[in-house]
Parts: sequence; C-alpha cells; structure tokens
Amino acid sequence: MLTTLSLIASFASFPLLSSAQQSATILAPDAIVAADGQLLEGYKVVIADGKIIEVSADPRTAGIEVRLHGVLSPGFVDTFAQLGADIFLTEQSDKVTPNVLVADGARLGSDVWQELAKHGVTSAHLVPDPTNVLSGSGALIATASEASVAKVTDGQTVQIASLLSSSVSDGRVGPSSLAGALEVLHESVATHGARALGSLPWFFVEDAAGTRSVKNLMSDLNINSAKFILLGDPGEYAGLFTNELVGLPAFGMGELARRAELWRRMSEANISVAFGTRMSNTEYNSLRSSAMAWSRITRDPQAAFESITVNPATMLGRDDIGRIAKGARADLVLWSAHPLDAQARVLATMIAGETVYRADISTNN
Amino acid sequence: MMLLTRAGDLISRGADPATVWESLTTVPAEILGMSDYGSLSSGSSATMLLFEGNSPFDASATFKVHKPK
Repeated sequence: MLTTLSLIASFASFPLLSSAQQSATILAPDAIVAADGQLLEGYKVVIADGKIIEVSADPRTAGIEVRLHGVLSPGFVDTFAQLGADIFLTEQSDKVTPNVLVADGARLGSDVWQELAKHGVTSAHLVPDPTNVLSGSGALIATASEASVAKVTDGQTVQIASLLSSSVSDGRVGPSSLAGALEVLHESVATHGARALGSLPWFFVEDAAGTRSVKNLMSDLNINSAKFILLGDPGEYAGLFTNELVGLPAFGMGELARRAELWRRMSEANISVAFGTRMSNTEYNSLRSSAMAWSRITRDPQAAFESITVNPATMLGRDDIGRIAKGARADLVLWSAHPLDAQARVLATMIAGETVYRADISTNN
Repeated sequence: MMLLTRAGDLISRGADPATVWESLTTVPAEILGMSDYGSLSSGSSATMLLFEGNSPFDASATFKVHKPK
C-alpha cells in the first residue's frame, strides 16, 4: 500500500496548476458534486497528467494535497453550441454537405470561450447550422487552456442531420418541403449507405412528421444510436421520445413561462434532456439557469444537474467529460456553493488539469 | 414556482439576492397595501413557507449531504 505523503496547502481556489505539473495533486474541497448531482463531503480528487486518477475519502495515491474552500463540480458541457465560431457554420452550395467540419470554423481565440469557462462551461459541442439535410460534423471544444485559447479536442464528433421544413424550404439549400428533405435523405443513404450518417448521427427535428420519418429510416438501417435535438414547439411532438435522452435548447430571458408546462410533462414521460445553447444568446449562464429552472419545475434536481453534465457526454458517446470519476478528464469547477444554488459563484475553473480561471476573491461574493 | 424560478435566474445572472427577495415579498405587499404580509415580523400574518436547502434560491435543495463512512 502506498503511503500518502501530503504537503498540505490551503487555497480559496485552485492553485496555478499547469500541464507541466508532474506529480499527482490531491484536491480536497469542502464537498464534491457526484455524477448524480449529490454533494459528497470528505472526498478528495486526485489528478495527474490532466486526468482524474482517483476519487476517494482516503486516497492511496501520494501527492501534494491542496485544501479548497468550496464545492468541486464537473465542468458543464454545452450539447450544441454555435457561439465562438465563424457566423456561417454551413455551406449552402448543396442540400447535403456531410464533409463540412465545423472545427475549421471555430475561432479559438474568441473571448466567448474564456467567458464560458468563467461560467463553469468546460466543453462545448460546436455544431454546423442545420440548414442542409446532412450538414457536416460537429467538433468538441475545450473552452480554455493555459494559453488562453480554446482547443479542439475532437474535430469530428457526429454527423449533424436535419429535417427542418423551415430550413429546407429555402430553395438555395434544399427541396421545398419536408417530403423533399426526406427524399434527399433517402437518396443520400441509398447512394452512400449508412456511412453518410455515421454510427451516431444527430437529427435536428421540429415536428412529429419529421421525427417519425427519421425514426423509421433509422430502424430500417439498424441504427439504434441516433440522437435528436428538439426544436420548434416540442410540446407538439415530445411524446414520441418517452424514456429517451434528447437535446433541448437552453432558455433565454423571457422564454421560461411558456416552457414550464412542457418541461414538467417531459419529465413525467421520463424524457432525459441535454441542454445546448446553439446561437440563442450571449448569456453565458444560460446552461446553468436552464438546469436550475428544470430542477424547480420538475422537482428533480438530479435530472437537472445531469442535463448539463452527464447527459451531453452520453449523447456524444463519451464518458471522460461531465463527471468527477476515475479516468475522466480533469475538467473541474470550484464553486462557492452547489452550482444549482443561484447564489453560487465560480471561484476557479480547471480544464484537463490546467487552471484556466481564478476569480478575484476580493470581489467575489 | 415560476416566481422562484425567475428569481433564481436573475440572481444567477448577477442580481443582488436581497433585492430580488424583496421583489418577491415586501415590495408586492407594499404595492398591494398589505403591510402585514411579506415579512416575518411581530404582528405580521402567520403566512410562511419552509424551504429546504441553504436559501430559497437553492435549486439543489432536495439533495442530501452524504459523508463517507
């Protein structure tokens, strides 16, 4: 058994750790937020080489122990984002553009990414504009780094497809109706096979007809892993997703009242959600605000916390982000209280073991 | 529920918690001329709410704190 030789230091926020840090660091916060959103007191998180290597009350790994005054949470994951990229994440030259890689359009030096990191968002899944039936591949972005720029951590995540009549009705980019869009989709699959979609395609949908069509096609192709982002008015068709995990736009100011009943009914239908911001706003707090609202409306804080952590990761087929667990990337946020407490503030943010943000404690409440 | 959700949203975006709390309690009571509502004080109506968690704005309120055994 290894003996823990701890040099104990006390910090209000993360010490300035860098990627060059060689030895293990034992973070000892007041509490950690587990994957299910519950607070666990007395646990320590051991990190090394940018990853979490142990989570335990009594770590076996030797290292320098750092006492943290606050609650340690996994970084939030934005399921579908478009901020921080060139304005047009799409090619309008064809009705299917599956080879577009939005990673090429990411402006990694944009201040947007730093702001997101300051608000607890450590990963953002950048997606192409769902204007074409097949519109290209998403990219996973780590929102900050030691060098103050974002990083592409996966330049080709999933193929983004869409059956949006509001988009494909534009003659420049596709046929004139949902039926036409379906024809394009079938044609593409017939020509290229399921390869045109990839193994984990995401579909932006906005009505029951489009959803049923996609589900039937996926069933024909034996693709069981397709995921859906619900646009339009999901109140009209969310019932088709009972017991499933779906992407849902985070709300902006003024939009909450008309969503409350929908969210309540979705929760009752055991629909799990993963919130994304798309182009909606520059309210960097909208993921967290949406999770807090989900908790209040559904009385299910666990599902609320998962909607901005574990669920987005699950939609992406990843288990290394959105949770504090052995093997996960050390994307950690130190809060002054539980992150679903509206009064909580970010004290520090760490991505892949690097401290990328520390609040000015003297001005932080 | 909607009031509290909206209040939490405002606070998470930087609004002062005390001001927001007043906007839910004493301010509307004053506007409506119901001076015996909106605060816990001697002589006030015994109309009260019991919240779990650290504050009325804590949406994690139903969580329990676990300690390692």
